[in-house]
Amino acid sequence: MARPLTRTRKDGTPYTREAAVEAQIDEVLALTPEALQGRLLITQPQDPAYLRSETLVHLMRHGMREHRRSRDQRLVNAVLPVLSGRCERTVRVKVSGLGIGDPASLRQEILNGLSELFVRDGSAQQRDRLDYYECKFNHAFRTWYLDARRREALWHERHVDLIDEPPEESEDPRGADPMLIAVTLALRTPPTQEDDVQREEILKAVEALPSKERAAFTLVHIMGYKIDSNDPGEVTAATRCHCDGRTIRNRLQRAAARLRSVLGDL
Amino acid sequence: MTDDRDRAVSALREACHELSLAADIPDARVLEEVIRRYPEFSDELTQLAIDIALDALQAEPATEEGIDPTAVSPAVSRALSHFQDRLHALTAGEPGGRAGLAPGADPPNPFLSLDRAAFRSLATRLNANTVFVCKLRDRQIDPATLTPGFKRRVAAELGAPLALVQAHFAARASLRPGQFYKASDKPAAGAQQSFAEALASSGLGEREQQWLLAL
Repeated sequence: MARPLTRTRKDGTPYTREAAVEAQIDEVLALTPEALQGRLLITQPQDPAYLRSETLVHLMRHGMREHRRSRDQRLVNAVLPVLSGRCERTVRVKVSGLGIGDPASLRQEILNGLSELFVRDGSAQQRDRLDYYECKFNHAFRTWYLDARRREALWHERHVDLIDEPPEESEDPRGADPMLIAVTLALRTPPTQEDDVQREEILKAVEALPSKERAAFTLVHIMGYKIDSNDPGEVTAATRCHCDGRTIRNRLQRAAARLRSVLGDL
Repeated sequence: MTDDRDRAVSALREACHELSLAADIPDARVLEEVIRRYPEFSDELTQLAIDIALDALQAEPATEEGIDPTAVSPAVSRALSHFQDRLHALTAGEPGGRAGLAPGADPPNPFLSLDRAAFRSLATRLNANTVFVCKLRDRQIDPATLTPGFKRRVAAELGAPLALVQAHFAARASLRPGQFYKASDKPAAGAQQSFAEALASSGLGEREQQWLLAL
């Protein structure tokens, strides 16, 4: 029987695993070590016998309790390489060199940090943090590596690139720039074989924008915020960026100019 | 003060996970819903939502078809080694755990007891970055090229005896027994960089590099 999660939300409701994960954990806990090893070797997610990452997290925590009790590390030694391997494949794609000095070292730090979570699990400082990873592993891990990437990029921006933010212009541009419309359309359209390369180039160009311009573009064109509003109660991109609509429009205009200089007219 | 800080960090972490769990790609509606529950973290949540939105547009990792399930990459191997180091450090600190080192064993690694926040704080106090501090932790720098002043500064910032820090730098990077590797990717202990090379390849500015070299 899977050990219940203990983490609760702010309103007191408990975090819960998906039913399919609960069922898989119950099934796997009853396997012999040899049978479990066989399941760990299955690498295709479509295979019904594939072990979900949420299940692997539960097995790791179970294995760590075994280790604390009896110094038996067999379960941990079997599971951690598989889980770490999946995470490495993710960060190789998601943690690239853009805005980061040494992406390989950052990826290593992310993997090392994840393994440390299992060492500290159950301690006073980290009682049930891994519960998130048993709910939706990919989302929890995404939060982990995005946080690491952002901190490193921010440090880099401040101490290495020393990017000077341009002064805000006094004019207030109106009307959506066709460049931004074209970029948004390209990013929202599912990739095909022909335009996959161009899509990647566009995304790289967006990610290379200075942080304020990137934020303005993403909030307005990807997440759907209005630039500003006459209704003071309406939350807009300007609200989220603690500035006014004119500033957002200027940042969008600068973003369009940068993207045009990198990508040409789309 | 530490308890308050821990609570604040824990609360922010919870808010971030709530946002990440709420949707594959949070839009304005989802973000505002989470911010309503955690208004004190509106800026952090906004930044995370932006990161998630752009991350979701990236290519997904290749499927696991064709992957050799018995192979362990060098990066994973290092992560496993790190895990064992941390586990050992925790076990050695417990009652009944190993009090001293077996002959031939590496000295304790004074960086391993640092959590993420302390690790980053150390990097800041050294006027360096985490990339460089990782190299110190993993003994990737030739100890003969580290200046005495730098080693003293590291010991002071770690709150560790200078002798321990020196012993750590001087220890060899050893492979952990019991791991298995693809023959073509068998990792070596790794050639060490000089102090100057390590600084230059860590993404530090010229000012920071010169400051550290001058210690």
